Amino acid sequence: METLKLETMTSQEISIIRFSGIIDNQIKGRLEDLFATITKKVVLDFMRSERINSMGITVLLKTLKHFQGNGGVICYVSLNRLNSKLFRMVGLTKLGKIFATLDDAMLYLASNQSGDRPGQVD
Amino acid sequence: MLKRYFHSFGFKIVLVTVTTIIILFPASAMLNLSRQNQVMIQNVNTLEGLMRENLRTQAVSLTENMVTTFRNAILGMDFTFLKVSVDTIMKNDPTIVYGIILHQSGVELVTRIKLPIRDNLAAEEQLERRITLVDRTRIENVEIAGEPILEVASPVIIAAQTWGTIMFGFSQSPLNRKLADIRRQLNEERRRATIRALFTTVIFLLIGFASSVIAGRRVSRPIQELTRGAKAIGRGNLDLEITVSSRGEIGLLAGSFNQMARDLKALMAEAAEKKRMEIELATAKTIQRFIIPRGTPHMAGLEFAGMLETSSEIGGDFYDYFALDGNGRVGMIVGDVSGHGVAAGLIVAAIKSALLVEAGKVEAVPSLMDMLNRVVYHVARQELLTTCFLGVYDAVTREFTYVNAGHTFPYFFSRRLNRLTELEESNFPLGLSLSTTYVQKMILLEPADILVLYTDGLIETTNRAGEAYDYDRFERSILDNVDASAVDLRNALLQNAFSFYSGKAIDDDISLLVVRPVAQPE
Repeated sequence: METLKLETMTSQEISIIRFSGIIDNQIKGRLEDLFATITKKVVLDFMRSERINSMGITVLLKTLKHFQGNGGVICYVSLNRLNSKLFRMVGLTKLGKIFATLDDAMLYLASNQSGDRPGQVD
Repeated sequence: MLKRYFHSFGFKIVLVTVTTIIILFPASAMLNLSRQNQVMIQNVNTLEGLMRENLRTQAVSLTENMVTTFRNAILGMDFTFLKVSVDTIMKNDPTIVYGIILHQSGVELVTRIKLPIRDNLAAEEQLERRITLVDRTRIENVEIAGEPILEVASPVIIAAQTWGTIMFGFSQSPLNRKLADIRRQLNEERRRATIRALFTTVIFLLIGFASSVIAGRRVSRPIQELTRGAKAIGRGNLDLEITVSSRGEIGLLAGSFNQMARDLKALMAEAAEKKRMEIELATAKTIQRFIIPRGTPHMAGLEFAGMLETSSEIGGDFYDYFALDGNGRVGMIVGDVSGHGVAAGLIVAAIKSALLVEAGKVEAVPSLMDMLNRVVYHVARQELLTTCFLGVYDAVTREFTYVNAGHTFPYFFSRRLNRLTELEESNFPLGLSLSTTYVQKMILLEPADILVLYTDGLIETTNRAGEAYDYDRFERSILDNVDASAVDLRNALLQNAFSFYSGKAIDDDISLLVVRPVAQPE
């Protein structure tokens, strides 16, 4: 089993989380812990993670919905075609916005004001 | 019993020890004895040489001293003194058996002979023949009348003229007797040493035998205890704790046996538990198979053809179709619980149960999805989510109303438009939030149209090269078979997908449900 790695860095109140490897059940707990330290804006970079299984989606949905419900703003970057479609299907695009590159996401977040969120949760 | 003892480890120790003693100790003792004898013989020989040399030195010294001593008497022609002196010397030294002073003219001035030569005619004749003048000291070993004699003859020289010869015969019998006595003592000592060696060997043999028997028992007893324990373990008594008094290697071995028995017991318990779980899983799998509809029925003018392939004993995928009432309404559902295995199977069972009980009571499709959302939320507590596509077809109006809860978008092929589209409706899966609102959409489903419902396992499963099957191949496969019946289309789609997987085991459940309106609705 490929080991999942999570790297984080923060720049100007924007946290970047980089995923490496298959996003599966290994993410459980780790992602929640990471988000406990993030305040408002986060970019999830999937450049080095081509596969997300259903357990990974479950954790992402649960964590991101909670984060977004507390006023967080989420961006996804470097998603491949399959995962972009998957994010649309499961409603992750209701919680965050997909960007092609990290720069695009950073630009968007830098100009984003509180309350101006890409998706609106019911 | 005795035969077993002869093959035992303890007996072998006894045998080896005793054999070693038998071989080594006597050999060592004999070697020591031999060395001791050699030394003693050497010492006696040395002693004999020294004694003979001493006798010879004394004899020569005495004879030559006599020549000096007698010189004045000879010059004074005092032959009486000579006789008295010889008598005195021979009286004081019992080893001198004869003393003779011979004048140059051949006349024996003094002749003194002791027994056993005296009164022995042959001996006296033999001695007589030996009485000769010498011009330098002569030393000879002779035997007269069986008596070994060291004979010393020295010339008496006066004014550079040889006056005569003085001879003394020294008996070597006392010396020989003394040497014989020493040799006898030596032999006696050798005999005693041999007896001592043999006695010591026997004693050591007995001690060695006794100690080896004790050692053998000390070694073999723990082995016997171990053997008994191992046999008991072999008979299945895994609770037995082998107790061995030894703290050495046998004790360690016993500890290993005990550990092995504990491990074996744990393994057997584990195997039994695994077997029990396998039976339970097999039962659960059978029950889950009953949950999935079988056959390819026609309901409300629709032909259904489904398939479910799980990647483990219990799957998290499911599909179903069911009549909602007697007015030609039929429901259909395809879902995927996150993960797979028993937990996912339990969620599937809960959804199926809820559908069985509630499906006929709920009019609106979103309400039915709301009900399922509540079920999954309360059962799984956000630990597992379920993507789900739920649709209801009305055979009278041909309306197909559907709601999607985060599931893969079904494909819809419109015969009239000759176009393949996805029924895109994005929303959260079941079980994420109780506040999720599901919105319904509707299409008209006409004869020869096709609905393809599936789970993501079919799309995301990779071949041996790690390449996913993907949507493009799936879409092409559908378009290649749009004229086929539901069953043939299902078979073609599966054949195409599994050919792509090229025998690689699937790592996610795969479900497929093909729905096709037939020309004449029932």
